[in-house]
Amino acid sequence: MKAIQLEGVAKRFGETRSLDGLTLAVEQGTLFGFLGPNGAGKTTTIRAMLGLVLPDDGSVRVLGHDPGVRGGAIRRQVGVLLESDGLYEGLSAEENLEYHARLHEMPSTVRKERITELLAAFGLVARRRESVRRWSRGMRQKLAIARALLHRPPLVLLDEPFAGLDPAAAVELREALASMVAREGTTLFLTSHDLSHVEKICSAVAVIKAGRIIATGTPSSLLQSSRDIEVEVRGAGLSREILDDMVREGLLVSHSLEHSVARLVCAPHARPRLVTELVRRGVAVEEARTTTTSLEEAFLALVGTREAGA
Amino acid sequence: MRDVLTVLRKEVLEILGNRHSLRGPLVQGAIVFLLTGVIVPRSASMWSDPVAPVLLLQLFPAAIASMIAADAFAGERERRTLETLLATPASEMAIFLGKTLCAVSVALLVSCASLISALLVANLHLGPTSLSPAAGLSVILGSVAAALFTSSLAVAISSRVDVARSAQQMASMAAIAFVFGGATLLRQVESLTPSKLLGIDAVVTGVALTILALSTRGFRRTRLFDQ
Repeated sequence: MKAIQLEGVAKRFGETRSLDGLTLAVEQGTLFGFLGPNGAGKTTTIRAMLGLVLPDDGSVRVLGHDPGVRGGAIRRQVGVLLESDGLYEGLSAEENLEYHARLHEMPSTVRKERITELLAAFGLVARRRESVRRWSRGMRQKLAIARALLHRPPLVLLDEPFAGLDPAAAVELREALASMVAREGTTLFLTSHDLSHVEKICSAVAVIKAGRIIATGTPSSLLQSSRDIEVEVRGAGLSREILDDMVREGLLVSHSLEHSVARLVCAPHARPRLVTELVRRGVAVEEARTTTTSLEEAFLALVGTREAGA
Repeated sequence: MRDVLTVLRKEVLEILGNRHSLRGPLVQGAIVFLLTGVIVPRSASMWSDPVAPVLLLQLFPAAIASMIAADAFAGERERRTLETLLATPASEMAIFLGKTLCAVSVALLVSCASLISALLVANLHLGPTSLSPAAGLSVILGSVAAALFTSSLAVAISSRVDVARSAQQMASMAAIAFVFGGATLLRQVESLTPSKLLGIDAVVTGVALTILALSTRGFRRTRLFDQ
């Protein structure tokens, strides 16, 4: 079963089209990254899933329910961290968690145990009775994430979970989230601007731009499809003439050659034939390796490409 | 019902823990207490009319309820906690009722404290002074009715206004109109007794509950973000 399924969802706010036929499916137990530039429609998508925004068109199903009809049932089974941490500054960490645990109708014995467990897991036990007003951004972020996980929801929606965390804490959180998904089968849907984390943690990603999904798949497939591939080739017999010839035949986009190492840029569809074509032209290929591209570069290329093409 | 109590509990904790944003209502509460529980009861003329102390002690605390309730939604929106609250399974009705009941509880507390203080001050200053049981009951039930009225109005305003300060200003104006308008109208009623006041309180409670029901019905999570 799909944890999240959106089909042709459209939403306008006055003259602004926030979602424009958005279609998205997230399998249960997936760690899903939702990427997009500011104003792309990420927050509206999350709000639509929670029943806080009703779409003008299309259908939304979250854990099998329509948020417009059974919003309460969805909100009972979902943990959220929204744009703002949503913490009550006048309350302590414990009181903030206690409030949400009660709203999720957790029995008192389970509640206390779970709150202690999460505060310990996020290293917040020592300051649990302190008003969160005095807390740093990173500590507040951790507490807000703990709150999202409190009632062990089958679906967790996290908007920018790594924001405000120092690198060590971000890695720690990333690992904790990954192990939670593996252990409890939780579906995790997260948006992030820190694509290095998304690349490492997510098994599937989608890129949204101007309310539409412009790419979806695994992070590696996104990398493959997003841009031309750079291949480093080492071997005897490499020459500018051969490479220019390959450019003319459309096998290469560009090249550079230094001693016996060539840096070749080709379209994704030409990559499988590249070595064969070089050998056919008399090059003794010793090594050919695809240079890795970060998801961030792929994301920027995707967003930029679609922008230029729009 | 459990959610109502949960919201009520959180609101009380927030009042105790967030003195900065609720400084206004706390100062207002102190002023009302001083006025109705300490200063006015020293005057013998207040006790010569059986209805005067009842009106004073039940109407003025309603203004505090109004201030607290006005912060309910506009304050949460301003402090950016509202969206997370609305992403929980708590029903609109539970949130409305919990916030309203918190405001009413504070008003009732001030009213009871003022009643006890007023009687102590009067006995110390003016000699033996008392209120009939009907008058005492009218103070308590009347303060609940009046606070319910002003706070349900304030919650309704708060759910439609973005800025807490604007909501509090609007709600304060409504509360002042209610307190002074109500007192003036009640003084027009011939041979008004504390027992008759109880009947009027029942009507006010009915009106307040109707306002609350209507504003809860009109409040939809989606409306807050559909703009």
